[in-house]
Amino acid sequence: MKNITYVKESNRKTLKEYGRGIIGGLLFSLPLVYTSEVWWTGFITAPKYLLCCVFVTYLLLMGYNRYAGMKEGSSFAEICWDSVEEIGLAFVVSFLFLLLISRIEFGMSLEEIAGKVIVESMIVAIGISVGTAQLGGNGDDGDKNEQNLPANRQDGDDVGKKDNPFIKRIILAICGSVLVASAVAPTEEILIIAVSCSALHLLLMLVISLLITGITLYYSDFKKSSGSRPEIMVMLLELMVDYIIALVVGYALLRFFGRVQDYGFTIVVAQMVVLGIAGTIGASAGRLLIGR
Amino acid sequence: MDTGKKSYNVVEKISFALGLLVLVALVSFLVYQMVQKQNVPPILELSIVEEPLTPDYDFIIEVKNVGEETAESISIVLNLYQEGIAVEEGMIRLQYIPIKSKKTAWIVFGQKEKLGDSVIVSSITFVKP
Repeated sequence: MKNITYVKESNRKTLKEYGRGIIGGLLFSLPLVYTSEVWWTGFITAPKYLLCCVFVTYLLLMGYNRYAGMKEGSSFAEICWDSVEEIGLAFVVSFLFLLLISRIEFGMSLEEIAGKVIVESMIVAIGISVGTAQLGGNGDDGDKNEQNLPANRQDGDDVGKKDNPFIKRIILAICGSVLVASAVAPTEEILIIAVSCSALHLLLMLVISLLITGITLYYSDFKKSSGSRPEIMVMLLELMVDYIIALVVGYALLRFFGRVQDYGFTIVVAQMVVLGIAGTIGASAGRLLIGR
Repeated sequence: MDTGKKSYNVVEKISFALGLLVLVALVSFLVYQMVQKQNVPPILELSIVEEPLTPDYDFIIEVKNVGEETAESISIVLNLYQEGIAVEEGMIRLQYIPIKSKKTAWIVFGQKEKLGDSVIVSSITFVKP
């Protein structure tokens, strides 16, 4: 009898976790779900890029689950398990949501339906992962963390291992940058701004991006940011790392959404700088918000 | 890799199985598409049928892309011929027609219907995205 109650309780907690994940997924991906350029990307993009998108998303999910996921001290197999669950859930959520807003219909070709759902579900998956880990009540999370740790690992094993802070920072910065920058990357407005901006504008954007990161990390007592300020050289190094991450993520997103291939070098760089503002906010503030 | 240490509940097992199924299906589908794809450009096939249910003189135009790439900014010009003379012109503009997909459009002519009328496609233009 006690066992049945435990099983029911365990299932109920998992369903609550999924509920949180779905809310998180929608919260972070709604701008993309309502963006026509994203639907189009689904059927324009070559299958090899879609495959890359699935692969990269899976790696990001593993990275996020490893360093900020809900279950502290999870083993590699558990991280893989959770990431598979999140991708599956994201695919179902994206499919149903696109069906709800009539962006997919059963009369459409399989290529079109699959393309649209794949593109949308990848960002939903990261949102689900973040939502599951970050949107829970404290009491519930605490229970879960304790409950899910196998007895032998509570005494040591993975839990005892110290995370490499630099790798953790990089992974979370990439996740944060992807979450924030992907909301604007597919829109034509990035290209319009990039084309119309002078070199001075772009330089100002670059400075502002670094300034925002600096204020977020060292001068605003932003959520989970360290109170103490490091040396100036360390600060500059950290700012540069976040900015480079934002640029690289920006380039990858622009390439995926077809905003690089047919444009000259100057326009591509200008687009990266324009998108870099969103990317750095994601890599700094976003990282702190989604991190553990 | 100590998988056996943690026990998963039924909901987790079901969603993992579903997730794995989705992931395998997705990857297989994309790999299949990559292997199958022969870079055939967009090929647009048109069918023009008179709409019998409306009082106007209109036609249903169905455009199907049987190629292997999406067609973008499609523009189709149609002419209504009566007694061998083009008496009216109409244009259809479509944003996208994805691979193996079709779009349906309507064209309404102002002329009265005559025996022996024909609708001819004058030009089809599109760009490759």
